[in-house]
Amino acid sequence: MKKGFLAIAIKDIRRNKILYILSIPIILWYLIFCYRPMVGVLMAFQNFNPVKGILGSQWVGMKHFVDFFTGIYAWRTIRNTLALSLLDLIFNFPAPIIFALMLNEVKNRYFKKTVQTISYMPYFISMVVMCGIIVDFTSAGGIISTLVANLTGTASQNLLGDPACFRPIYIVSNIWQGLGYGSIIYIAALAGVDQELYEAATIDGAGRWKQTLHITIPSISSTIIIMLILKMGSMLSVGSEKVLLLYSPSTYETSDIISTYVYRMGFESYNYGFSTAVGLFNSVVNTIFLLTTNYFAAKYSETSLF
Amino acid sequence: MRKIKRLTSLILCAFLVATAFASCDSAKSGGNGGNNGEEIPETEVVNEITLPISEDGATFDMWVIWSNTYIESLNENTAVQLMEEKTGVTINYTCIPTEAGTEKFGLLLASNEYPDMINMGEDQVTYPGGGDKAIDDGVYVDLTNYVETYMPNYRNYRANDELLNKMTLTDQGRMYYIAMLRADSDANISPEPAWVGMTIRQDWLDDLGLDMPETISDWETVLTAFKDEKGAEAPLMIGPTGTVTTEAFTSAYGVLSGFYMKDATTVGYGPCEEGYRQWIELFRDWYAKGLIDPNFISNNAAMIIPTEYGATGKTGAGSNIWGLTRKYYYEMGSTDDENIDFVAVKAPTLNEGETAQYKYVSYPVSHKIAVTTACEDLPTLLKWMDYQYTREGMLINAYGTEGETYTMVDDEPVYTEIMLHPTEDDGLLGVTSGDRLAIYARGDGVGLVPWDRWDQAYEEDKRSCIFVWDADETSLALPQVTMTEDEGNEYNPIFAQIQTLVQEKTVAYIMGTESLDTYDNFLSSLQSLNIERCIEIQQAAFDRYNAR
Repeated sequence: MKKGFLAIAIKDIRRNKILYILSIPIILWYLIFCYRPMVGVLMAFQNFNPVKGILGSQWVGMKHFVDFFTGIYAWRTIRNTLALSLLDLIFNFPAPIIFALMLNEVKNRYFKKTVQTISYMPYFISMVVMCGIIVDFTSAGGIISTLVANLTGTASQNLLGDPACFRPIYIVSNIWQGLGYGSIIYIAALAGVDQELYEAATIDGAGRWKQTLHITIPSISSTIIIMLILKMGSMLSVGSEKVLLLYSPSTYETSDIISTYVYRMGFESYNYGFSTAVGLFNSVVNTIFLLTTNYFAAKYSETSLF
Repeated sequence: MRKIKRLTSLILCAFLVATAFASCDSAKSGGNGGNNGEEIPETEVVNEITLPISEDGATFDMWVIWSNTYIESLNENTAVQLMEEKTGVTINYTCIPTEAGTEKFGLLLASNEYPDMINMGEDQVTYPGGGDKAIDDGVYVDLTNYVETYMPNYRNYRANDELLNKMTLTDQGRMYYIAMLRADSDANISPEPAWVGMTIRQDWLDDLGLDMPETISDWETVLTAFKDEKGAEAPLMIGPTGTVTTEAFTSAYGVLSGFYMKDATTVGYGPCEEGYRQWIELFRDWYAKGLIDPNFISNNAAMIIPTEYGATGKTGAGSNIWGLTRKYYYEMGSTDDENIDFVAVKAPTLNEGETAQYKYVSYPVSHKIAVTTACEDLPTLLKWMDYQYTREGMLINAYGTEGETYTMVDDEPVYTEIMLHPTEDDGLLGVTSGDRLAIYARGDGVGLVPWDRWDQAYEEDKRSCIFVWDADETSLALPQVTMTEDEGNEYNPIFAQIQTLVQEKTVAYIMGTESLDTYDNFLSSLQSLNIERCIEIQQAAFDRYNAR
């Protein structure tokens, strides 16, 4: 006989009273900070007026979406966002894994710890300071610009003003900043690999490379897949702060992404409704990415989020 | 079923990202319109302000864009404290740094929690949709009747000045702000001369035996010499979108980078015009020749030359404001080079003997202070505001405390030694005159503010800049017009896209990253984005201004 949902719930609550009490703050946090503000998405269908509020503003239906998709910047911002995310995924996702594998092979404990600590450091530099450093180094006469100019035999120029250089600068600086910190989770996963497997492999005659290929990577593959799914979920939410700090009108062609566009429209031109509409579109696409990746991960491996 | 539930909750989660940028959900509807336009009984009319204005210490909040190196907030200013003592009214200032002004104002409007007064600066921030909309939205108070009733001094100034009367009204004939008025020390209304303009290294000109440049081709000669002979890596500094605040260079071609007066009755948009193209061609050429700062997109030199350029001999010319001219860098200790000497230069023209048709336009109306519907005691606040328009109030705001920071000589205020030549004992050594004034006198804000007070505080050679800059004309300048709500709703989304396009293309053409062959495409993109409609709306707003 099937019991009602309520009956099961009550029974469960009785049994795990303490656990439920412990979870209350987190549930409240989600309700207050995540669910309550969701009313705000209604602005996407309004000529929102901050004074009249959600209830008093004029409803305009899908107008903002039509405006965005028929405007000249829709494709460009989507393209730039996708390009930055994809490049970030291709270069920045495997980088910490490779770094962790390499560290794993280092036998000298002190050397290993030192390298690890040094590689974490950039992560703790504040975004604004880091972007200031980048702007300085890549301006005409800056260290990086001069280096590039010497290598290519051209005059030193402002690299951040060149649309072609924006993506490389963005990706390389991302790797530099996130490499060490991103590798922590893999290093932790590597520490949990059963040492007996290596012994067995050595006896079977497997070298270092074979061991990595057949033992290390399969052992941490579930961590990699989970990280990949999480990463896919935020595909279109490229860190807007960093782009905002680095871009300028001269590089809009490659640097103007959905979130910076939303920012300019919303807070510099006060088009709240339009801004929300574009942001909402961004979120929907993110969700689709997340679900797709999860589907394929579940299908082709045993690991998935849900 | 379970799957669908999960899916739903996931989609809901995704909305979080959307709301990160737009979490303004306050459902306060309607707004409390206050006593807009309500008749106030004749008997209330105030004809003279008597002190103290409040017996029991009324308190009001003011939002203002203001920052200073030495004191954190206007509340620490001694003149503000003296004003509080005299009137019995306390003003709590919320000071916002200049660069964050627009953004913070957007957030303030979205927050639904307003201070009693908002100082919008000299249109540094404007209510989207204009003053009439702000009143209709129930954010700002319609002050028309209140001014007549409670502000005898302000009322008088308006009644005696046609331009002032016109400027302080909206298109619908209402008042949504109290204007700070520029005056002289005798409390007569008078606009300030232009305080920003182009400057150039006089010492380099002398060294090279060159005359002060007047035409565009003079400038090219001078800048080339700066680059070749003086090794300047950024001979001319410009703003991140190619222009400078005073539109020098663009004005030589008879256009501005935004909306401007094509002739006495027609509004035009610079980038649509042939003159803009000629200006771009000039700057593209100069950029290629190395005459323009190669890092202009990130240097933010639209109004002021950055110190790391001005004080290091990296640049020879750029926009500046008058206090930062002459040997400022040496005096401030930014450089050991005593020779660096920036002097004012008129905006360039195409042909010799012409006068540039644009300068920084100063109106008698400066800062605009709106009173919001959050204010609970309008009569007291307005009387306090009106006191700032008396000569007595003006002296406190502009000169500080009598006997300490100024004395009256033949009925004229004169700064004391502590303000003019501070010594080590005053703890003010190395503090610029401007900053000293900001510590001991309030300066800009509601009330009368005399601009000639600077004449005393600064050396004459620094002050004289304004007369060079002020000699240029203003025929290209559009007056301060306002749009209706509907016009704003239509205009803003269109113009935001146009602005993105114009800034991007202008910079790309100047830097040479895009071929000039595509210029006609740029013009047709402007047309397809519907720039014509924007011009029409601006024209309509201008016509309404004229009809006020």
